[in-house]
Amino acid sequence: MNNSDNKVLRLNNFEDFGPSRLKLLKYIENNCLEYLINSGYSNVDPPILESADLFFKKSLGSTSSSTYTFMDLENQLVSMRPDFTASVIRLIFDNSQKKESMNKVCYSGPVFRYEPATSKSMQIYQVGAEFLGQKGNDSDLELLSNSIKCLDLSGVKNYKIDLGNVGIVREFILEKGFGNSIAELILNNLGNFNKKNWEKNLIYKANQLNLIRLSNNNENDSLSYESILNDYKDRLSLNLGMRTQKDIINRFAGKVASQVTMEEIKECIDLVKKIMSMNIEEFLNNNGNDLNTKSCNEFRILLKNIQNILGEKRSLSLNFSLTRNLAYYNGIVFDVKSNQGIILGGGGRYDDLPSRLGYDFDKGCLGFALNLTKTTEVIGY
Amino acid sequence: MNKASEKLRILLPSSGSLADGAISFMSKKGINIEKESDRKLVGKVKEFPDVEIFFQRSGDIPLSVDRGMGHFGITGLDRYLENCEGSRNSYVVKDSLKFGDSKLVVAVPDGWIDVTSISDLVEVCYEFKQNNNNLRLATKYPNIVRRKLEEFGVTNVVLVTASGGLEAAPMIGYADIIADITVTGTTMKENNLRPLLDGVLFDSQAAFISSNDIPSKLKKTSEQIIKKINL
Repeated sequence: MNNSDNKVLRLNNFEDFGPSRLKLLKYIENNCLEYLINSGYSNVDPPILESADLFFKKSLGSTSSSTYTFMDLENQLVSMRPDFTASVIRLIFDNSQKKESMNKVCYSGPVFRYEPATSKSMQIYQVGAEFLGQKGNDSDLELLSNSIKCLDLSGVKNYKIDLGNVGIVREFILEKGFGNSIAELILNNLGNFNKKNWEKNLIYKANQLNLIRLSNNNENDSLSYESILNDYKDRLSLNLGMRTQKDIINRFAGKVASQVTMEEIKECIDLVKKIMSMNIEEFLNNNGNDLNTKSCNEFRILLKNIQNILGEKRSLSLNFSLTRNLAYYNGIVFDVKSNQGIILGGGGRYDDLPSRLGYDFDKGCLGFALNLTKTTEVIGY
Repeated sequence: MNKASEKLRILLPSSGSLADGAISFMSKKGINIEKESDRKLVGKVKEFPDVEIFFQRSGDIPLSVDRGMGHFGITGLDRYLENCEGSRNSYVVKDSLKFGDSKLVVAVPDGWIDVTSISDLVEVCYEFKQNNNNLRLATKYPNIVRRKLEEFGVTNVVLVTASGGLEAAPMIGYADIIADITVTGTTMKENNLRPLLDGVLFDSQAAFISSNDIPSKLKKTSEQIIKKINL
């Protein structure tokens, strides 16, 4: 038998970092951490392995198929962190009763992901920051400014920022009188906006979701709470899990009432298309009735500030279809890309995340991370 | 893989509904398996002396083939896609072998009278989110379920991976809804669960799978077997 048959090979897609690449990575990491620490961020280091539930709760399960999850030797379901955000938020709240109370933290280290679509396993090295306790433009600006500063410190010469705002799209739909189910449908499909047949697929899904009623008349509009309770009392007395009879009956009655006509859904899609197609100049100069809300005006100020910081050499694009494939963003959301289109990092606002993780906190939460694995690749070593 | 073995390894289900179907399928394709006793987990093929048969749990076969422990295998397509979809180490030679039918179905508590279709889950997810809770779905097939639910636009579900007794999950309280294999739906009904009208996420039969790592000295035999399987 050939001795080489016994060799254990490196796992596919897991990269070795040789001396020159590691030196570059450490240089960027140290520069970014030093800058963030000097800006008032505390450096923390949560464990790589956490309870799987932490990450499932964070992404509402949407990353569960791309997270390394397994039973540990004590039969606990654990995951290797797919990113830092959930661990860092847990760490902040775990320490909130101690002397080391903090609301701005920075971190660095590896995260682990599996991409089912490409069957790629990956270890990605990140540096980033989380910022708790502020809502509004000032904190959005601080987040973006820090991301830009870290990129500049990394030595990436040319990059561009795609900036969107999930909150504005949601507000826009709700203000037009469409319900949460229509808003959720459209937000969940924003990422496909540039794909062929986006509108057709959206209408197809709305139909699948029973969001469209076939006629303007609806015989069931008059269903009362009591009549539903009476008609379904046997089934409603069974185990309902975490839902209450009231939740179910109200939704049952509301289900019929909240349906929209085909004309109405088309009108909603047209309105969303209008805002999605705007470039930055069009948005900055359009303060008509539809886009004259407080959050739109604040977002305009933020865009102008970021344009000033970036100057003329680095570009800022407005991209309302940006969702970063994660359902938890509720405000600004951004990607930083190299000129070749490689995503070097990103972040945004996710104010609901602490409460989703079980903490009684609604004062704002946002963060960003740079992907040092990609950044070193783009810079060259 | 055991490098000392110079035979082509075919892994077949050792028990359950797939076991008899697999032997009968192979026989129909002219590959007659000889098993010394029901308890013995190895077998031979008269027509191919350089082939050995190993009987394994059907759920273990996809990864065993994908990792090169076996060269060919018969398993449920659902099991294979759950564990190995997109893998570069193995592939499906032939699916829909006309046995081992199963359906992966989403079911909710029967008392949820407002939920009749997958689409309703979008709103229920939102209701849970508003109450700072997550809708939890127990399943043995988290990858397939995730992909299929995403196609329907249901993204805010926490998948709880469980290995058995899923129908009791909503009553015990570790999940709110389930996605499980069912044939008649009787067990679900007895546990006050109701399959959704459009809740079939996956319709599966047995599949013949192959490793991509077949030693050159076994190529000829492996090609003969694939030819027979595809007839």
